[in-house]
Amino acid sequence: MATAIRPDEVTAVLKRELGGFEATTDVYEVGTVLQVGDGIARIYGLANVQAGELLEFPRSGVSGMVLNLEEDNVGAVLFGEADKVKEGDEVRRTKRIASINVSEDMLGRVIDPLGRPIDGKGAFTGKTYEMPLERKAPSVIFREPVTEPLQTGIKAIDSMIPVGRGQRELVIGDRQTGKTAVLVDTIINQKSTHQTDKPVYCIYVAIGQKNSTVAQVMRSLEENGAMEYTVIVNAGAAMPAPLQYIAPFAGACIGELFRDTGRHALIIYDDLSKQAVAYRQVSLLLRRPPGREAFPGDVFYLHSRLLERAAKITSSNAVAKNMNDLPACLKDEVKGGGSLTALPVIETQAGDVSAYIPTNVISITDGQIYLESSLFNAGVRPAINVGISVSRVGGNAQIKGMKKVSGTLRLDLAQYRELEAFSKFGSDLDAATQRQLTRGEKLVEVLKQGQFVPMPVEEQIAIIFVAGKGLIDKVPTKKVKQFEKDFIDRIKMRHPNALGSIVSTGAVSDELVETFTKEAKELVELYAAQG
Amino acid sequence: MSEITISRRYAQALDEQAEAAGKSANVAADMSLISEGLAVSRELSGLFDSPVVSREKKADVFRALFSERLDSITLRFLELLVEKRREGLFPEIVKAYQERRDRQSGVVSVSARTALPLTGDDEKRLIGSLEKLTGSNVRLETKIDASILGGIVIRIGDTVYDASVVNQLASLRERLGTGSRN
Repeated sequence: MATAIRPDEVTAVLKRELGGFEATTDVYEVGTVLQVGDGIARIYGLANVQAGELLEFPRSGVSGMVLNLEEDNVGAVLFGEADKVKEGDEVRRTKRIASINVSEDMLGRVIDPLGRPIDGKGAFTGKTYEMPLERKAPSVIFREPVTEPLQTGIKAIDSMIPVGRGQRELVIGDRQTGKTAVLVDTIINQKSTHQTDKPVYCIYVAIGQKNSTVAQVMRSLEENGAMEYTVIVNAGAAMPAPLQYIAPFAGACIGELFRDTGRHALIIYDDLSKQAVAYRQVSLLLRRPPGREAFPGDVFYLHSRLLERAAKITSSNAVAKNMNDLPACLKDEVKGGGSLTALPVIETQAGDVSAYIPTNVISITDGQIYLESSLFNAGVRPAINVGISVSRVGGNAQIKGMKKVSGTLRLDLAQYRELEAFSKFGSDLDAATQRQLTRGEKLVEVLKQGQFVPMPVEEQIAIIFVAGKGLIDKVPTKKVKQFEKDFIDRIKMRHPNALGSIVSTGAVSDELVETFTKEAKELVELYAAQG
Repeated sequence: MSEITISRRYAQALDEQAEAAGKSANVAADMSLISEGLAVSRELSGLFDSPVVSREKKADVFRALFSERLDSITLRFLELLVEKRREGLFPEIVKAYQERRDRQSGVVSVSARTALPLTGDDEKRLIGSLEKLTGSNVRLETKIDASILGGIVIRIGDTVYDASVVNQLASLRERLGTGSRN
């Protein structure tokens, strides 16, 4: 119960606060704004300032970050209202490398790249950790190979392009191919991990997107109960370019809090092409020399140092405690075994993956998921081109059961696509070819999936098994979706423990194979009887 | 190249030339004479800055004005500036020149802002403690600035020692402000 506030209590607090009032002398270093414009300030003075240091502009209340140290001036980017800063203003050093205050209260909230809430739900009250925006990635001895799966809940991805915790998997495709939809589904699918002892926290970094799009993503997450374990970092299209440029780093800070305290986090950078454009603007205004496509020379390093921060941390607490470049506030709370999985997004122009930024990010990441507009328009959604999508490390993270059933899936689909081109000529085809064509057709149908309905991995295994074995070849293509639903229901109803055993053992036993086969055959007959 | 760098180079050239000729003191006096003249006479500073007046004309005016008063090195320097179209940078060059001279003679320039004028005694005590702090001779420039309300703000190079009332009030506001949110 709250008691009334006593006046003497207030006086005591005020006295204490005012106690240090006498004889304090602040010592700080200053400079003067020489030139300001386009979100960039050139500053004279600040002789000892460090690159990446946070600056204060006391008159206007704006903050900034040092990017260029030149012979007689300092180039800084301004965060916030750059037009309030005037020539001749005083600039103060903060002696702090640019950082944001990360708090676990951020879960379920929308913040700007400086860590301030922008959803109108009030300030963060819990413990905060000051995490530097630019932090070196953990070095080799603090890492572990990727072995645990990160289930996206999307059949095409979990079966053929598996993503592991700590991996960096690029999502690439033209506009309007469903990139964001795949990512939102992945976030929603992490809901099930929150019932286990290894929950995955999610960070969605929106860079240069319309605020309406971000609001939509947030609504989808809320409606599906995924917002409570998700932080949205929004650097909208209307925000200054410097903020768009640091937004992914702000997201990485939040992810590192989870990673370094032994928990699992998933971070989505949507998208890095817009961040590269923002960085190009900042660089050109700072008069750094332009290179290919006018991007600065260090745009590769910009992305590589960001994505290196995604990692699987060693499970040994003793080793993890000595991790390099740990922020002081985190020293006592470090635990091993955490991970940060990154899903960067790149938007291509008319399918051109050989442009500068796409090739860079492809070479940095551990694989890529290609989304194609032709597939999207043909009704294959998610529009993943599994032929050219790869995951270089995820295979080790796939659970045994999935590995078993998806073994030939990729090959079957590749052969199907090859034959599909032939069959367009309409010539007579032999029975074997016909069979392969039907098999491919059913597989493609099975891999189609609606939005916001991620599928648990055990159900994926069941349906991919029957489709891969050709048990549903006789089901009309139009009815495959219905069959899928009926089959899963049937298994759940008649063998309540079957799917659970996959979850607990991770494998598909011979016994289970028999059950699936038997049930599928029976159900197919029912479908055949219906005609 | 930026103006600051250019000014520094001209100042260095002038200083080295003067030193080689053994006329450092004369040149230094000349430089402050001209900059005082610039501060007093709007016509003169207009002449320095104006791009309309031709180079020949400027050189003639400078010769007529200064040939009696200045050392030959300073006069030649002015002519060089006119020839290179850098006469507009003269105020910056003077600043760079003075900084350079100060550095060589171990003098530190300190500016102090106070709300009320300093008494002679205060100023002496201040210079004494500043010399102890910096370990070199101090040239103190004082300025009255009512906006700091009270106390003193001292600036040595880029470093500010802020013991002003306005700064303490600001930090107090910040402390009480964050206190109320917790």
